[in-house]
Amino acid sequence: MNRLGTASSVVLLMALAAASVSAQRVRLDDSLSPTQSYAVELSWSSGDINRALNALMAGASDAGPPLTGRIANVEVRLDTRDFVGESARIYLALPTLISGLESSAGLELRWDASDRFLSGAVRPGQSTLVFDGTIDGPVTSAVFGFLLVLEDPTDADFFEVEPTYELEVLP
Amino acid sequence: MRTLRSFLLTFVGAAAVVAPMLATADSSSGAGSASANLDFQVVIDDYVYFQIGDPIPGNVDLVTFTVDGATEFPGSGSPIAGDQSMSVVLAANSNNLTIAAAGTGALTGSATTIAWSEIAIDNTAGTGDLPPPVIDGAASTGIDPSAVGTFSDTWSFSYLNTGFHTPGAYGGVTTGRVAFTATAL
Amino acid sequence: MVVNRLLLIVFLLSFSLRGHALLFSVSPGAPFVFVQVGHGELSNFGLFGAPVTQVDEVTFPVPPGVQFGDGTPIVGTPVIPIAFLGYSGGNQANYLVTMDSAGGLVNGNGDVIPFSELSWTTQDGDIPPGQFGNSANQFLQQYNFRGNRARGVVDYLTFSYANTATYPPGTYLGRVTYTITNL
Repeated sequence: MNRLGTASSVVLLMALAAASVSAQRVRLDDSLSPTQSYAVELSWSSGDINRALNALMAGASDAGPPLTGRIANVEVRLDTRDFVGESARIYLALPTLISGLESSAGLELRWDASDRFLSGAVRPGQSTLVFDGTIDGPVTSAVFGFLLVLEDPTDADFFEVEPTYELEVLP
Repeated sequence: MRTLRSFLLTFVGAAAVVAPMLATADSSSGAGSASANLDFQVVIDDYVYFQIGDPIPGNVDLVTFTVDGATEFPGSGSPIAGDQSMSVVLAANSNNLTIAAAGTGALTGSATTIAWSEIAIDNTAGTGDLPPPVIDGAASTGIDPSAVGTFSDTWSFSYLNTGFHTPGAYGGVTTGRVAFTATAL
Repeated sequence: MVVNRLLLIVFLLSFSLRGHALLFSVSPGAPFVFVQVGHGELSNFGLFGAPVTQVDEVTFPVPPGVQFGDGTPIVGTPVIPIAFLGYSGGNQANYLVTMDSAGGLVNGNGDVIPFSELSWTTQDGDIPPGQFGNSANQFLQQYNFRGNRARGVVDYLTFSYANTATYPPGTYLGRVTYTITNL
C-alpha cells in the first residue's frame, strides 16, 4: 500500500473514531464552488444615510453608520464525500484576524441561504450553524446571499474575508 | 446641541402655524460632488416717503413773512424771505417722481386775500436734488428719473410782495396751508 | 504512539490537499458625498425623508413699522435645516462645501438684489455663520477627519435681509446652490 493509500484509509478511520469519541470539526473543502473570489465594495444605503442624519440631529458627534456590501448568488459547493449518510452539522466560520483590518471587532458577515441551509450571521473568531441534517451526497451545495457589515470603519483600506465551512459529525 | 425630541416638537409646532410642508427639500448624493438648492424670495413694495420740515407725522410747520416797512415797503415788488427754510426728504423706489403743491383757497386776511402766486419756493440754498413745485401751479420736474433712493434738499420761501394789502395777518393755520404731494408716476 | 504519528501525518496531508477557499476582497467603496438643504418628510426614514427634488423657499415678511431701506434687518422664514455627509476611501474623510450665489435675486423687470444683502446665523455653530458673497464658489466649510471614513454635520440656518439699500418694487427670486465635493 502506498503512503497516500495509507493516509486516506487512516483518514476514514480517524473520522469514524472521531464520531464515536467526541464532536470534532473538520474543515470542508469548498474549491468545487464555481466562483472562488468576489470583489465587494462597501457603501452606505439610503437608509443608513437617514440614520446618520438623525444621529447627527440627536447630537452624535459624528455620523458613522455601518458600511455594507452585498455579495449575492454565491454558490458554495462543499466536498462532503467522506460523510455521505452521516448526520452532521456544518458551521460557517470567520478567522479571528482579518487580513487588512486593524480591528475586526466591527465586522459581521450575514447571509441567507437556499435549500436546507440556515440563514445567520457570524463575527471574526466565531462560527455559526448553517446546516443540521443528513449528508446525502458527496457534494453538498447551497446558494448564499451575503451581506458584509463593517461598523465604525477603521483605518484599513482593503481587506480580505475568508469564510470557511466546518463539519461536525453527530454521534 | 438640540435633541431629536425637541426638534420634533418645534417642527410640528411650526407646521401647525404655517401650511403643512410636505416633501420640500432638495438633496442629492454622488461620487465626487453633490449639490442642493435653496430658493429665496424678497418682495419689495412700491413706496414713496415724503417729508417736509418736522419729520413727525401731523406736525405742520409754519413759515412767516413779515412786511413791516423796515426793509421793504408793502407792494414794492422786492421779495421778503420767510423766517425759516424747510428740509425736504423724498424716498422712493420708483422712477419718475414729482412733487405737487396745492394751497387751500388763498391766504385770507381781515378784508382781502393774498394769492398763492405771491409765495415762491426755491432750492438754491440746498442740494438741488428736489426742484420745488409752484403752489397751485406746475408740479416739480427734474427729479433724477434714473436714481432710486433717498433725495434731500432745502426749500426756501419768499413772499413776492407785488400787491398792496391792508395791515393784518393773512393765511395761518386754516387758510395758509399748502399740501405737498409726492407721486411716483 | 503509532496512531498519534499517523494522525499527525493525516492532519498535515489534509491541509495540503485543501483547495482554494471562498474569498471576499473588500475595498473601501467609492467616495460618496451627500447634501440636503431644507425639510424632509416626516416619514419612516426619519425627519430627513427620502431624497426629493423640491426646493425650499425662504421669504422675508416685513414686520409692521419697518420701512424698506431703513436699515432694520428683516428675518427670513422658515429656518432651514442643512446636512452634509462625506465619505472617502482611505482613512480620511475630506470634504469641501461651497455656495453659488452669483445669480442674485431678480424681479420681473430685470432689477437685481445681490445676494450679499442676505446673511445667516446658525443654531449649533457646526456650520459657520456668514453672508453671501455673490460668487459662484464661496467657501462655507472644509472638513478633514482622520481615523474615520465618514464625517457629517447638521445645522439650522436663519437668514436675514439687510434692508439698507433701496430697490425698485417687485418680487425678487433667487436660488443658491450648495455643493459638497469630496477632496
